[in-house]
Amino acid sequence: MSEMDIFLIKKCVDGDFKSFEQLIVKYEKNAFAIALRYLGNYDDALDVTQEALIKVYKNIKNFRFESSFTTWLYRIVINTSKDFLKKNNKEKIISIEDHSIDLPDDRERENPVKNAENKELKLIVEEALMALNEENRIVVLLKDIQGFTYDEISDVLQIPIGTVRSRISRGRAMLKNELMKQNPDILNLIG
Amino acid sequence: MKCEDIKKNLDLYIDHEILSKEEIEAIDAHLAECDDCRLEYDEMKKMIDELSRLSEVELPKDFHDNLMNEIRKSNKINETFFKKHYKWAVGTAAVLLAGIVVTAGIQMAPGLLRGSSQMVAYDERVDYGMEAPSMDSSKSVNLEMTEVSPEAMPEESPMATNVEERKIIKNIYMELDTSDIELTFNNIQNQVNAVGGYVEYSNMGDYYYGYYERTQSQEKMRYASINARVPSNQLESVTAYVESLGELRTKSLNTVDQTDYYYDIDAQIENLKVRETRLRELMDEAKNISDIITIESELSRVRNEIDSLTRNLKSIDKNVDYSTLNISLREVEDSSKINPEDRSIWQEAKDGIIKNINRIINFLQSTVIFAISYLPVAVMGLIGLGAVYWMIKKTGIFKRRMKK
Ligand SMILES: [Zn+2]
Repeated sequence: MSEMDIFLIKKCVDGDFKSFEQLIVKYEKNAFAIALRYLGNYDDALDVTQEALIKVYKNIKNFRFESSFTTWLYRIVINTSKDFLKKNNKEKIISIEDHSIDLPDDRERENPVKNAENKELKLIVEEALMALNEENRIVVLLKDIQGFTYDEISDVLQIPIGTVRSRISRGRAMLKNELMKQNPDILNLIG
Repeated sequence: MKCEDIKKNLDLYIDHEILSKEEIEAIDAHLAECDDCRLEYDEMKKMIDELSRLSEVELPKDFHDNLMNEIRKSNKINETFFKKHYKWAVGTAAVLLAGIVVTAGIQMAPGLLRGSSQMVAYDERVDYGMEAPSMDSSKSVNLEMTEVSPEAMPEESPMATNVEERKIIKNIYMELDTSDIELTFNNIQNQVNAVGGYVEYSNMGDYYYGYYERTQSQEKMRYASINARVPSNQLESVTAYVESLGELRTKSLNTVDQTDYYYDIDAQIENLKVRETRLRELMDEAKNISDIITIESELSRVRNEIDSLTRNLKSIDKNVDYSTLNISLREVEDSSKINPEDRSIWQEAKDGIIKNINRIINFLQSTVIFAISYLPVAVMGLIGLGAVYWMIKKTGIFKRRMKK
C-alpha cells in the first residue's frame, strides 16, 4: 500500500471528505470493472459500485492497516455484488446492447473488418464468462481480467491459496469449454 | 515429465505462481518438444489474452460526481438523525423537570408563554446555523472548503477578444433547505425553463434515515433533487434565484477548462479532412480492385474518425453553452407548518406536544438566563442592602448607646 494511500485514509478517518475523494477516484474504474464482469449488466453494475463505494466511505474508520486497502475495497465490491445477486436471484440474460462496452483499441483501429470480428469475439467471451457459476467466474475475473496474484485473490475472497488454484484451473477449463461450444475454432481466431 | 503432469501445472506455469525454478525449466523443455502440450498452452494463452481485454470498461462521466453527492447527502442525513434524537432526549428530560416546575409556574404561564414563542423562532435559527456542532465539526469544515464565493467564479469569457474562444465547462452543486419543498421544487423548474434551460432529471420523495445501515429506524424526511442545464450566461442569475428560495447549505462550483483539448481535436479534424481529400483523389486514379478496396477501407476509417471527433467537439460545445446545475432540496421541520397530507389527529397531537416541549424548554432557558444575567445585579443589590442594613443597625445601636 502506498504512503499516499495511508496518508489519505488517515485523513478520511479524521473526517476529511476531500481526501476520500482523492483516494477513491483511483479505484472507481476497477471497482466498476469487477462489478460489471461479475454481474454482467451495465446498469446493475453502476448501482452496485455506487452502493459499495458508499459503504467504503462509511466503514473506512474500521479499516485495519493489516491488509491492503485495495484488497479491502474490492472485497466490499464483490460482497455487495453477491448480495445483489442473492436479492435478485435471477440470472440476467445478457443482451448484446447493454453488455458490450467498447473502447476502440489500437487493434481495432487497424482495419474495419478485423474490428467487427474482434467485437464479435469479445461478446462471445463475455457470454461464456457469464455462463460460469459465480464461484469460478469471480476467480477467473480477478486473475485474468484484473491481473491479481493468487495471494491477492486469496486475500480478497478469504479462501486458501489451494482453493484459488483449483478454482482457476476449473474456471479456465470451463470457460474454454463454453467458448468451444460457440465455435470449435474460436481460439484460432484470436491473435 | 509426462504430458499429464505438464497439463496439471499449466495454469501455475502461465501465472508464474508457486512452481520452483526446476519445475519451470522442465515445463519449458517439454513444451519445446511436445506439440500436443504446446497447443494446449497456446490456446490457454490466447484465451487469457482475450479475457484481459475485458478489463477496459467505461464509466459514465457523471459517475464520480453522483457518488460524491450521494455520500454528501448521506452524511447530512446522519447528522440530522443524531441531532433529532439528541433533541428528543433533551425534550424528555425537560418534560420531567418541567412537571415539577409547571405547577409552580402555572399562574404566570399565559404572559410568559406569549413572550417565549418569539424565543422559539429565534432559537431555531441559531440552532440551525450551528448545525450539530458537536457531531462532526471537522467534516463540515472540510465541506465548506469546497464552497466557492461568487467573487471566485471566473468571469464570463475573459478571453473574448482572443481568436480562440475559451471552452470552460461549469458545474454547480447546491444544497438548500426549504420549508415548502413542493413550491421550491416547482419554482426552480419554472425558472430553469424561463431562462431557456431544461431539467434533465428531477426526483422528489421521502428519504429514510439510516438507509445504508439498514437499521430499524424508519424516520423519514422529504427530499428532492433537480439536475438542470441552464445557458451558461444565465447561471449566476439562476443560482442567485435558487439561493433566495431557502437556506443555502452548500454551494460548490467546479470548472473544467477544455480549451486546449478542444482546439487539439479541432486540428486533428482538419488534418483528417486533408487526408480524406487526398484519398478521394487517389480513389479516382485507382485502377485495380485491391487498391480500391484498400483505399475504401482507409477512407471509411478516416470518415469514422472525423465523425467521432466532431461528436466530441459538439458535446464539449454543448457542455460549455449549458452549465450543469445540481440542486438538492431538503424540507426542514417547521413547527408552525404541518404537511397537509400528514394532518391527522395524532400528527397534530404530536406537533402540539413538540411545540409545548419547545415552549417549556424555552421557558426554562429564559428563566435560567434571566436568573444568571441578573445575578451580578442581585449580588450587588444584596451587598448594598446588607451594607445599608448594617449601617442602620450600627447607627441604631450607636444611637441607642448614645441614648443610654
Ligand atoms: Zn506433452
